[in-house]
Amino acid sequence: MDERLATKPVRGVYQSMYPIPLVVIDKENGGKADALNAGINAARNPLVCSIDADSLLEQNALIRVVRPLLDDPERVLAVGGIIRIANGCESSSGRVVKVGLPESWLARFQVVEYLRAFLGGRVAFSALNSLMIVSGAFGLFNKAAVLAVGGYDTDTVGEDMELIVRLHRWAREQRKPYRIVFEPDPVCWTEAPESLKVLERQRKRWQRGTVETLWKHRDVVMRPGYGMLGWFAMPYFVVFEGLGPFIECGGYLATIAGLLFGLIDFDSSTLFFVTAVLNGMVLSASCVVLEELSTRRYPQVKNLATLLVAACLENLGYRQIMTFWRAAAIIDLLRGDKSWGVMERKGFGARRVAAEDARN
Amino acid sequence: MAPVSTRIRMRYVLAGIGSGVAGAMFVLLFLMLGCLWYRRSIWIPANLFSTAVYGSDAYTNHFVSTSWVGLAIVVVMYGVMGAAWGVVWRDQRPRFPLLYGAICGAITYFLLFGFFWKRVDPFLSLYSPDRQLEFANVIWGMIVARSPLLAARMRTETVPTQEEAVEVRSGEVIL
Repeated sequence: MDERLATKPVRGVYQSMYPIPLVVIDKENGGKADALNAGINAARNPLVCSIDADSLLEQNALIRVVRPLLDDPERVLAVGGIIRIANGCESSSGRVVKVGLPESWLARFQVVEYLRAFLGGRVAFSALNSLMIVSGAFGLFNKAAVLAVGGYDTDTVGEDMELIVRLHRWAREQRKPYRIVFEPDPVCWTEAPESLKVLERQRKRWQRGTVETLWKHRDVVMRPGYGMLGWFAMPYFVVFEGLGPFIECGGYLATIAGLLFGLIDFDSSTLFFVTAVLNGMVLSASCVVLEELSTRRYPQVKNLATLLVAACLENLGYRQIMTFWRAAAIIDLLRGDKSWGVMERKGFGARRVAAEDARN
Repeated sequence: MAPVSTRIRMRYVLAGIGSGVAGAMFVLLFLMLGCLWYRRSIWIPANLFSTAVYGSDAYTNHFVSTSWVGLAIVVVMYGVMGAAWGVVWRDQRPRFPLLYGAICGAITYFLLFGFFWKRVDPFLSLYSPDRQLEFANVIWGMIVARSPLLAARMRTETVPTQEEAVEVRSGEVIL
């Protein structure tokens, strides 16, 4: 095995040729990033794809995701597909066979949140060639570029974002024309946490990963030579992802304190709060409508109606909890917390059996 | 020389082909502009259609010899569809020709990309830009909706000469 990327010791490599060529690497546990690096070392082709173990790819997702790399093989360094919530879907033989919405509102809020993040944010960042994240759950990379930047960083919990920022930096420092692309068509279905405890762990980890990456690459911010990355994407992430939770939490606390001590007018602050919430509702609802108009995976009208309701309700409580967790995650990071946390999964088994029973 | 009645029918076909090919030029131009917008090579649409003959290896981002085949496929495909619509419409001039044209463009899109290419070349169907093609096909339909006008313009040229009129059997309606 080519060991261009340093990893924990590999105990053995097992290969099967039937029914599909499959290589399994047995190695000492070094975390997800270390495992991905071992996979890249073992890869024999010019492209490498990372997929989370708790995710299912839609049929044709790989063919679709490779398109930008076929269109522009010299410049495209990485392509990210869209991640969707599999809770509520039925699966069979590793494929989602019937798309549906989750039953719990917590998971439904996450469906809306994912749509907003992918169809709103990432499409725009991709168009400006300043995409900062290709989700670790489903990303396709030019192997040579990944090897050139040294693979995944094993010292961060946000290894997917860190790799993308490093690829941006490397290409810009080499003065190499490049693109990092988001494709909304290739779909990867993943399982979302349905308990607040697990969701809290996941979100805190994501936030710590984001802030770690921003801190590690802080020298890029507003530096000539880094183009849209330095002048738009990084400052945006610093303000809205790094400082945003504190600003939002501070706003809530200051408003409550102001009202209690009679420092601010009740009507004005209520109007301001309602405007902010309505703005959030309009943004979320727009992304649900955008999904319906573009990629369209939810087949029933009632799915769309439920998502629109979820888009409105998620601004009343869910969003505030997320903001609070994100702020708490930064405080955890300052205290030195680098844990990944246990992610409890229900798996696709129960749903799969139900789907197969229904067919028989 | 073909019998006069055949020549008359031919003008519907020719008018359809003419407007269909003009529409095909628009479709190609629109797809190429779409590529520029998305910072992709303008030759990708032509190469994508050439995969129908040469397989997925023909899908490149440069102009290569096989690109000519891709361009030809677009022209022929829309020309044939235009001829079909020309025969369907004949001389009829509906009240809202553009609306009819848009509907015919949408139907053409679903016939070609929702049915034909899906079976003939799934790769092409998978990689074709859906929204752009939907829009381009609607505009194509609007252009093809002009085929009755073209057919009417050709009518003067298909009026039989005295010699040709002899070929017409007594009682046959030729115009």
